[in-house]
Amino acid sequence: MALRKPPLSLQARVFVALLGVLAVLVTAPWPRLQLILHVLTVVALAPDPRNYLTTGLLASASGWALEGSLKLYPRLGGSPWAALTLALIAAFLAEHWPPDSRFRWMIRQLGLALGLFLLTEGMVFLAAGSLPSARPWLWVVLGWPLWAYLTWRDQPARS
Amino acid sequence: MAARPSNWGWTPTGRRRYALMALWLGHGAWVLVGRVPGRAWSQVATTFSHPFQRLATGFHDWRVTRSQRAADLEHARTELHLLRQELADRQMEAARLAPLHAEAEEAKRLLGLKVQVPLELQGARILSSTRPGAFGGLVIEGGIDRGWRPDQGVIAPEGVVGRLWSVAPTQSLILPADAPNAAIGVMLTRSRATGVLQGLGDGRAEIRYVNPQEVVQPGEAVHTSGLDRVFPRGLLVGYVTDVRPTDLELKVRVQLAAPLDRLRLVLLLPLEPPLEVQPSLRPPAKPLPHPAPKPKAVR
Repeated sequence: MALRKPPLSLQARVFVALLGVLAVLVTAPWPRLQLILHVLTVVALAPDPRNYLTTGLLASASGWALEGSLKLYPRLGGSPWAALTLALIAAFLAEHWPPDSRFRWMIRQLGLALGLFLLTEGMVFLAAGSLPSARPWLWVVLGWPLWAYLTWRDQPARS
Repeated sequence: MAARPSNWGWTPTGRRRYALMALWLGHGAWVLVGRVPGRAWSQVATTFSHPFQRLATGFHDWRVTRSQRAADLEHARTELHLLRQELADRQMEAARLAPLHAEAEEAKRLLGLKVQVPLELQGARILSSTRPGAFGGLVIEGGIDRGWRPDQGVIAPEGVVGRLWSVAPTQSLILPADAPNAAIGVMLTRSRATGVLQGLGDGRAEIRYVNPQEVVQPGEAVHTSGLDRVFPRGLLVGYVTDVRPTDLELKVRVQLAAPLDRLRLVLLLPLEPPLEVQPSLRPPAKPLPHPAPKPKAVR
């Protein structure tokens, strides 16, 4: 039987998510790594059913850090909105259907990452009028087994 | 039973919900309604990420420089290897051509001597030398097949070498001037005294039958006298190294001018040359121009 990891406290989770946001900012020179860290922050670190507001703030901060340092789009806002939306969905799913195994957690993370991709494409299109390149998301999928495996923990129940 | 508190009142939970709704709707409004390009935020993010961008740029430049240096080093190594190979090839080629060059130089000097001595001279290559041995000599290529006969004089650009001793069908043996049984009629340059040069071996010889009243000084040049009818008058033989008077004659030691051990090519004089020859003053013959075509007769 696999060892289970207890959930992080709210403060620890906020701290880790803030580190993720900082990492997104720091890794601006390497866009592929930056996108992986952004997805990791949005779908795995930021969502916390105990506090939806911090979830939204951290996810949107990660989106703003990504778009602000990428300097690719004429108008910003699409990625933060997509990240905020998906992080809230992830927190909702964690609250109502918490994954009880690492495998289900990893499958869910993959699905959430694909959802984030679709939302980002759509909302960036709404904001900037152009579809961003989908090629960097391939690296997110390739790195999925690693980051999804490492971020597995028991999800906290809503207080 | 206590009533469940409302989630949408002005309670902490409600305020968080309102804030979250404002956050989400604000983003939506920014995206859908706003026409602000977000330069300010982009500038802030750029400012934060600028140090890391510079760090990454420096790291990238360092990697490019290092790989460029490695490529340059590899290129230089390859070039050095090729140059070494080329140098080795050229050294080998030079070593192969060195004897030919030396022979060509000697042939050139022989040609100059041939111009100076207007006789019918014939060149010959020295095949081997048996000089260190008793009655040894120089073996040259050519013999009866080239019409040679014994007692023909042999000279080199540096001086007299000797005479033909025996002639075989394709090879001949030279009796060098320093052989004990060699004799050449010579004449001292300053005193004009004549004598007979007799070999002592090892490139040295002695002039016999010189009048003891003659004044001979070391360093004086010795030439052929032409009286032996083997060499014409005036060919350099050597230089006086020592003079020893006796009761009957003056014994004059001579160092031969021709390096007998290092010769490659020699010139053979004709048999019984004239006593004295004069250098030719005629310019070398030039090829005749082609005769002009005769004009055709026009009728």
